[in-house]
Amino acid sequence: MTESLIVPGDRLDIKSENIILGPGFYVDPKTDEILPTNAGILEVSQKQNKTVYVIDSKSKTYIPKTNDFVIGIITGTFGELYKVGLSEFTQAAQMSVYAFPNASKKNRPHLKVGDVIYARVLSAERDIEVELECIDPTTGKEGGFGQLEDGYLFTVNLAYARYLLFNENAEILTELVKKCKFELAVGCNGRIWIKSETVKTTITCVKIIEESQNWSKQDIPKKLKEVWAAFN
Amino acid sequence: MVLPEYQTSLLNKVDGSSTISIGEVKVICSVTGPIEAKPRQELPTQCAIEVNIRPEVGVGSTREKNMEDKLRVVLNGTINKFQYPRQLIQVHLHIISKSQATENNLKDLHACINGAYLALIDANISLLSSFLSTYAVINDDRLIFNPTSEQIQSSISHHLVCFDIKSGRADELLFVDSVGEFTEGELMTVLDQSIEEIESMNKIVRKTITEKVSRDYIWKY
Amino acid sequence: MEEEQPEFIQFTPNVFSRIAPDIYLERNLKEGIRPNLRKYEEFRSVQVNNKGFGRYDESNPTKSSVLGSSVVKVGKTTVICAITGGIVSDDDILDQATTSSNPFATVYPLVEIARGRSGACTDEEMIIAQKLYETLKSSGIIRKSALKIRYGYKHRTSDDKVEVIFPRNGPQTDGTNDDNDQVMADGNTAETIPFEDKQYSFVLYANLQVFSRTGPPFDICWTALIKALKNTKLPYTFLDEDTTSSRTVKSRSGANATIERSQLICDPVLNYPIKLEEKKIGYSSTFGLVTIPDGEKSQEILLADIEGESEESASTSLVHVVVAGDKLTSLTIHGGSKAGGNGSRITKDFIKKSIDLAHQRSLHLSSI
Repeated sequence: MTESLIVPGDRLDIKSENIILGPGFYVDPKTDEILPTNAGILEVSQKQNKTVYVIDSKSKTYIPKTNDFVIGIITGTFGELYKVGLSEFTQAAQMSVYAFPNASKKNRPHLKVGDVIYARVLSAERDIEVELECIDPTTGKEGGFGQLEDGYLFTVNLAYARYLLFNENAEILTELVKKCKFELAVGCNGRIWIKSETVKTTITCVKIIEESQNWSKQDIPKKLKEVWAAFN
Repeated sequence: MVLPEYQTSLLNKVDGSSTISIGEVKVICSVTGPIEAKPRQELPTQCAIEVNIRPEVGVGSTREKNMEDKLRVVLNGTINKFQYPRQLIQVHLHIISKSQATENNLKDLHACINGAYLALIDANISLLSSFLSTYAVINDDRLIFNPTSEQIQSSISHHLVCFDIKSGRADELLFVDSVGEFTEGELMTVLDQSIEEIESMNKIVRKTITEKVSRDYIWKY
Repeated sequence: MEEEQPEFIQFTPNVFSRIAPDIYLERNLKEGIRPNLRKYEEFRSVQVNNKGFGRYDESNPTKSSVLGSSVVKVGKTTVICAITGGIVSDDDILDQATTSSNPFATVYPLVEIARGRSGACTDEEMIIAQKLYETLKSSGIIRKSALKIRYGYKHRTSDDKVEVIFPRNGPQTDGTNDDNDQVMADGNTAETIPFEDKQYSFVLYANLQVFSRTGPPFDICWTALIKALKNTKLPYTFLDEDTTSSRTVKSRSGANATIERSQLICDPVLNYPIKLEEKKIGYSSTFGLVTIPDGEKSQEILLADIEGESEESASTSLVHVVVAGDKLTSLTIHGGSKAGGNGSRITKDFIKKSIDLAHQRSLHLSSI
């Protein structure tokens, strides 16, 4: 895997065969030219005989993609549909009341405006409203999705949220586990839900995770100790 | 040469932000988007771009409207609008301290264009190319880039040139605003010299972006 | 069985140009002619009417407040420009344009584009007004000294006759020297100038009305503004002894305060033309660049004086030039919007060609 900085407008020597383009690229519809459109780190990797190009960059506004795990807030109920806000100032996604395991006309979930859910993006087409569901598609069961009760919700930047979500052994979390017990849910939309035994530990954990966006790996134990000490 | 000073990601609640100081001019810029557009702004196939410039004090006047229009030309040519159909990208600029030379507002606009570029990069908005602008005056038959306000006041013509940048090279002309009294030959010289100026400026800006990206990914290493 | 023919949808030119302006323009240009039936580099015809409705126009018996006017008709679009004025004391700081060391003055334009309904002014109107303001200032056509007032004095002579004394050298300053206090004092004896340290200047306002907008109206507005300025006549002004009052008030603390009320009166008949820097007067042209696919390659076409919805929205690359004599006074280039797919690359040749054409146009406009 090779990495390097890319800014919009850079020419890349990418042949258009046998490749998969990730986010950060645009293919000119007239010339078929592949243009990098975001500033970030170019990651090149191999997957099933294909070269995968991705520009990894930090952002704050979430653009839904199918199969993303997200944390949403119910913003309204319309008949058999829930409106779910995934990020501020963007159009709400929709979720059917039947998009829960074993849901039926008689047995449907009772979510209120303001409730927090952990869901999967079912479809995210460019011109159609985004749709969510709370069912694990492989098993048809709950699989960790559903309402997140109590706890505390905060946001981090999207790249960091993805990192926390896809790296179960992220240093910051393994270090934090040594200090206290907590439940954690991370959404691709940058939202993190946390629940621990006391308000004090919750606030401390939130502070630590927020701050850790600006910590390098080797600094984690030292800085974590500092913040922990400041709160306890 | 007066080197511009940059800083990015200073505002918390927006997607991208930057400040830029060129001489006495200082501008703070924020970008929010893509967000939901108001019905009257919404375009079916591409995103709408809203540009807002606020002066040092008070509310914007026709002076700012004109600057907004010029900045919109540059943004229209560079933002990859088809990536965000029916969405809105808001670019807000606040002039913290404006040029002391009252002859024209090109120096302010120069800071606005470059500030907007950095804020767009910070907001991770899809751009078709990078872009930077230069501001030059012709004073006593000499071409001066990044003039001081005294130089601006005594100059015969003023030129703001903005090129897009592909692979570190100034490529396509995005915007030119020239006022004063000048000849076609002088204009051509300004364009040629601006290319060099922008390319050398780009090296510095790119360094700023590298620093920014490595700061964004500090947790990874 | 009869084979079913595919149905063609037909549009009238009006509809076609609105739903697909780029394709409409491209089809037209492939025939070698523009949608408005002009050649690529052909400008619209211009009619200028300088016979105005101003205060000092002989044809106009009403003493209106209009100092200069013009009606400019380019193609289908008509712009009516009326110049009015006001008087300010130089002590009153208006804005930076008046206080800075810049020796040139400008006018304060108000642009209205008729669109069949009323409402707040649009962005386009504001931008054109601001552009007119900035371009006039940077082009240096009006010197601040040209707007300086040297007023006369109306008084009652000893045999009770009313008499107006004007400065000997005429009301206009010579234009080269900004500090004319001395000259004025020479023209009159000290006793006829009661407020000798008080300086006044004219401020000019331009009111532009655009009717039947068919293309970017800046060029026409600029032409109308210049033509109106050229026939602008400034009034002789004098201080009237009768309306000038001076009284002393005694405050409670015993101090004396003098209150003076002076009013400059504009003469209904006497006037002088405003002094413009003739050499710096230039005219504006707008050009569009369109790229049309031509087989494998694409062809780039320069369109002069763009007009109509299709040309305006499809030619995204614009050059706008103001030429005075052999010098340029303002040039704006709006580069191609590549994301729109029909933006064109601006080359030096394109700029040079535009400047050449703008020169010719400017010569023509200054001759009428």
